[in-house]
Amino acid sequence: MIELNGIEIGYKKRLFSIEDIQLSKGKVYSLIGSNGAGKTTFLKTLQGNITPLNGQILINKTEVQLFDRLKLSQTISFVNSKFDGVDYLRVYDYVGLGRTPYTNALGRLSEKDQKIVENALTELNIKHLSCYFTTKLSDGERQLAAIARAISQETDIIILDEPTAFLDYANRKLVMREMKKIASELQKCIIISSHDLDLCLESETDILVINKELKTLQHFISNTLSKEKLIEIGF
Amino acid sequence: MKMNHIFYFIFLVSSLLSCTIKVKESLKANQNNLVKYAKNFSLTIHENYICFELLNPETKKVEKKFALIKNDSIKIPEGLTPILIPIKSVIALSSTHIGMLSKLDACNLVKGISNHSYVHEPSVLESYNKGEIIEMGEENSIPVESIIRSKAELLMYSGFGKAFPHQEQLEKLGTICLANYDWKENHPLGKAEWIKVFGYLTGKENNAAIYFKIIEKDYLRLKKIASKLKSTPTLFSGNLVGDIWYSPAGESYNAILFKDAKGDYKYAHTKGTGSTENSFEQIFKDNVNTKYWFNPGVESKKELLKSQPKFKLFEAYKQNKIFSYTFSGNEFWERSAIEPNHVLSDLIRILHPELKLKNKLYFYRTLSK
Amino acid sequence: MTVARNNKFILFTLVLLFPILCGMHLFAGEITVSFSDFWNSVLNYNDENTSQTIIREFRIPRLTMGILAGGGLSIAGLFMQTMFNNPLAGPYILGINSGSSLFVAFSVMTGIPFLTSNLGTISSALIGAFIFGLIILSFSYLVKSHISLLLIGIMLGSFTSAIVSILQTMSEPNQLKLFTMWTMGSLQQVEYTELPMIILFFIVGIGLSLFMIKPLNALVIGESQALTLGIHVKYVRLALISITAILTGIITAYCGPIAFVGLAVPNIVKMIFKTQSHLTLLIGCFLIGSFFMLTCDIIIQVLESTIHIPINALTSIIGAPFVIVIVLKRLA
Repeated sequence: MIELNGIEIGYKKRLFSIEDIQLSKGKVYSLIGSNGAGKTTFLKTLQGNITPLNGQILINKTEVQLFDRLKLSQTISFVNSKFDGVDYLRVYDYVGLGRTPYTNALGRLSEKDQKIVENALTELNIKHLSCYFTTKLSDGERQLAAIARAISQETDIIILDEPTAFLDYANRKLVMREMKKIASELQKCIIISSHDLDLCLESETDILVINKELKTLQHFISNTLSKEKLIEIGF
Repeated sequence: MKMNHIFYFIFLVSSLLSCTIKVKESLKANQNNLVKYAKNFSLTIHENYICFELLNPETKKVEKKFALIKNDSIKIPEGLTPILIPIKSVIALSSTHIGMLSKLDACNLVKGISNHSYVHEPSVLESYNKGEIIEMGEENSIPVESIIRSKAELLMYSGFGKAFPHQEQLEKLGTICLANYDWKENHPLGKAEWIKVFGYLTGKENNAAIYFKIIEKDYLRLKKIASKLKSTPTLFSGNLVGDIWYSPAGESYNAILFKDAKGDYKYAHTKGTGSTENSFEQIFKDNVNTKYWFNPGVESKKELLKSQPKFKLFEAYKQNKIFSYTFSGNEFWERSAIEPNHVLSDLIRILHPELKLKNKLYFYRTLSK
Repeated sequence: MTVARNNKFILFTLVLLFPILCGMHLFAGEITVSFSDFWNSVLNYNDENTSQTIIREFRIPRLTMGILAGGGLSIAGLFMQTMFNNPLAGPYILGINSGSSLFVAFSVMTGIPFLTSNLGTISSALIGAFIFGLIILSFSYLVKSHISLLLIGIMLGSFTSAIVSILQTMSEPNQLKLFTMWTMGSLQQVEYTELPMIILFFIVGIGLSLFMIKPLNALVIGESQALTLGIHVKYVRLALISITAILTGIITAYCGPIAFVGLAVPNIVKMIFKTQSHLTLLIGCFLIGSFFMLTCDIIIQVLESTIHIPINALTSIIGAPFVIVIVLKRLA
């Protein structure tokens, strides 16, 4: 799915390098690293917003830099750490925005689009919230809506930037569980940046950690890394 | 603010506050009174001084009393501000002041003006160019320093309802501030009568009295000629400000002139001495076929259309019967107050071509293309 | 969904009420005119008939300008609010009107024949609106806070009015008078024969707006999110500024600066329709903006015999309290 081969990540100054990592469909990857190690820069590079200092990121064998904006939006979706909601924006319409890359010039949802939106809502068990205003949801519900929006975008890759940072424990567990379920059921490649080591280890996701000393990105398959070791590498 | 605007503004203000109080009775008591038409001042001769009373234009109550004295040592009653006459220097802030001084050949006394670009009088312009006259700016924002620098004995201002800034301090320093309410006089001859004030101030009271008599006589003569005419052509006056049309009210200066020129002014019946407001539609309905249009405030038909394209629907526009004085803007403002006979003469010549008078107009012109 | 059906019902009702309000506006003036005068003035015009002339040359242009100014400014306001993610944005408060004012002031007071012509005034107003739109757009990249951007807009306004007043002191009385007239604002400057051209401009502006619906819907959740949804945010912003310049510029050129409509109406529309679907909002803004303007103008006409209120004074009197309500709602 995503091939990272001999790449140097950085914006103006070099942050870390990636020797050879393949990210594949059906899996959730937790991206871990200390503040300033380059998590955000890495995610932006993946989305094609920043050019790597060296090497090329290949998505489905194509350089990500060659994607145009539309193709990009049909390949990668992105969920922010926080969505505050917008006045008078209903959950259904918000999730419907995920269809933007596919709709006509007026942005009308076709029947097929509506089906996809409803499926995304069902997938995350928030169909009953369809008519609620996004401002009236709890933080957890809003984050689920944001994920549903990403799902309705029907991209192979979903990137989430610290999606659990503002959630309580139960909601964090819920989000991680949902992401794992989606990855395997819908065959998505999901990358989650996080500070929450316990949550990532507990959820048994693969771990991508930025090695603080070697300045490289290392890939560990789930359940192959202890918390102590992880702290030693990353912090 | 340009002069025209100031006068426009005055129309607005006075329309709000206008009232007419008969004060003649109180004045008649004083046999010495030298004033016949003007309502905003009185001049009375006393044993060794002349009393000049400034009356508030709205309430007609005495606002300030001055004693014009020829000699410092003369004792005057309390409450009167002494002015030593003849004055040797004056700051004249309004065009009409310069116009009246010019009639008395007293422009050499002028030491300060508000803005030389509003001046027509050649002798004043010449002195200004020689650096003998200080330009002071708008009445309400004149720097005190330039007044003091001018060392003028008298400052004559229009006083738009207010005392002159720093009036008391200035008087202590030797510059007496005197409001001139000629602009609030409704009768054309009342406006002109203010020349008597200038006469006494400059020591040329006899010239002033003679001059006024001539004007009065001529004005009344023209009025009489007009009154005997049969035709009363329709006319309207003014222009739009925003969506509102201000016409001179029925008892105002302009309305009196229109009446004396035997014109049928559409709003002659309206009350008040200021202006009367109408919507544009109303003006159109009332005046689409009115024959003459006076004082549109512009010089050409092109400008007129630029300000409002619908003006071309008016009959007066189609027939080229729009008359304006703005061609000689500065000259008009300086002279019209003191030459009401010439303003009246212009109006009569325009409204009554049947008189076949020689077509010599003093101030007014047809709008150019 | 029931919500959408509700909104359709409201829109339908507004469309039905529209001709009624237009009729009220046409016949609200101090001077009574008959219905047959109206038909004759359009179909069988006789320029000798004063009533017909009043309808054709006064009322119809005034009605049209009321509709277009209210609708156009509200749509421009909606664009600004979504684009800057700021419910208090609007063409007036962001200084886009003042751009027009400045350029019109320049064009009127230079006295150059082309610039003082009608076409000159319109193009100056358009260019001024566009340039000031670009200025505020570039500031929006520099400042993060909503309030800061509004303050910059207000400062642009004061800055230009200072320059304009300097220009005024230097200009000829006649040019000054023309400009002063213009700043007073009026729906009555337009001639019957000019209407087709103005309407055409609006159709272009509003036609282009339809293509902005999709990007606007996406911009609601923020610029960075809109980017990930495949929206070319940069181009979209330029397009929005251009359309705003067309709508605001034309209205400002003919009617003078009109305040608060562009700010208040989109907020009212959102309160009524409770949606972020910009198709609904766009139609809603046009209809309710026109309603607002026509109602203001009807009030003016009804009160005409007692008191004369300039149109931009009335829109401010009604609009400003609305803005305070919005601010209070935000802070509460």
